[in-house]
Amino acid sequence: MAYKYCVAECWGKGFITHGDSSKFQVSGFPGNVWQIPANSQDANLWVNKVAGSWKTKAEAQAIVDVEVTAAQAAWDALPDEQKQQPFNRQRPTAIVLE
Amino acid sequence: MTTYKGINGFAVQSVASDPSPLNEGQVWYNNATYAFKLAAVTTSGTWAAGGNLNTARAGSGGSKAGTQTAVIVYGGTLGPSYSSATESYNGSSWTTQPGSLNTSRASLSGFGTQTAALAFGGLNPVNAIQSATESYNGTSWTTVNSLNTGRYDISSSGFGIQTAGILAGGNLPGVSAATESWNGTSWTSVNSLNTSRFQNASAGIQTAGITFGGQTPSVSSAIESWDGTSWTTSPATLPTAVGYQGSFGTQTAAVTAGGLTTVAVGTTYLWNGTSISTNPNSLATARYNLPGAGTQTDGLIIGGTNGASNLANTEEWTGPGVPQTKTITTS
Repeated sequence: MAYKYCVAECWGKGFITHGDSSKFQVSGFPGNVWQIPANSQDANLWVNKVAGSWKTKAEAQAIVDVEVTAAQAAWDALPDEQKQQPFNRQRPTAIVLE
Repeated sequence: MTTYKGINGFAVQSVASDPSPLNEGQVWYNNATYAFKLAAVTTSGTWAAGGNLNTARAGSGGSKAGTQTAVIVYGGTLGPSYSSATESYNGSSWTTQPGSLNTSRASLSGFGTQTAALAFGGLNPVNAIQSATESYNGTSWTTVNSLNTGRYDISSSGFGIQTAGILAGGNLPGVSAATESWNGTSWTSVNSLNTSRFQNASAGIQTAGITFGGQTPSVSSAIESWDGTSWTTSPATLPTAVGYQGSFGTQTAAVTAGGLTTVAVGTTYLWNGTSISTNPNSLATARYNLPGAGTQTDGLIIGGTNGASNLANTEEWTGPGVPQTKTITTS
């Protein structure tokens, strides 16, 4: 499936409705990046509703990479004993947008 | 000729806002948005954005027997620090409550309702394993009798109400199968899980529960059912092994969503008591290490982490078969 991307800040209730989700899948990524199906009028209307800023796939990937790289750098800087703690067991994993 | 009025006893009504609750087949005209609308029953569940937490957090406890419009979340990690804060949800927004846990902690578990909840286990801010149990009366937390075995990695492992619940599995450290039963006053060790695991996702009541997946420490697809006395391994398994999920519902109608495979996922599974199915709509934000609350009809998952950062956003679940508003169009 082909996708399009936007950046929008989730304000909470109403940002994605059940009606939206019944028509298309919205998938969120670090950096407030949202992935929607390409060629979906409903999804385009949703981006307008949330005042999303359209991004190319490369632009969206770059935003996600900045967030993940920062999280990885923070994890790398932890002392070894802290890397054993429950919330630090896993180094943040790179995310590749489809 | 059959008419809408003939079936319902009244004509299509013109209203300024959509009616609530909805009745299947109901049609109305919304004169504020100039749209004809219909209450249609869905064949699959959907997620919608809920109110944002005041503080992004993962590994929190939650009042699992709460509802989509009345639930609390407590504790959890805020990043480098662990929280004692309690936040309460009214169906649209979260409010930080004056009553905080007596012990800041994360990776704890909980159950109960918005005004009668229990918190137990976890790690304190110096990562000491907790057996302490605290009880919430809607206003404040009181320390009560401790778990027999302190443990952590149990965010969604407990289920029940403030006076009757179960905790199964956890990390001691070392993967545990230990199960304890809470009677409103104290914990009693009871029969263990067949598969030791932590960060398993559970649902149900003290006498009828279910647990899904978790870490053994490798990720598990096993499902076990609790009958009030012992655990039985189900022949059904999760389609994909997963741990750290959120969950809610009952032994025969549960939802488990999100989790960690090797990455955060948003996959949502529906359990009907004998088999599990994948819901077409996934969480909008893939996430893990989070509590959930509610039923297979109306539920909620709260915060968690996407692997890069803790999340403040929550997602509300409406299950299959629930009337939802659809706009009637000509295309």
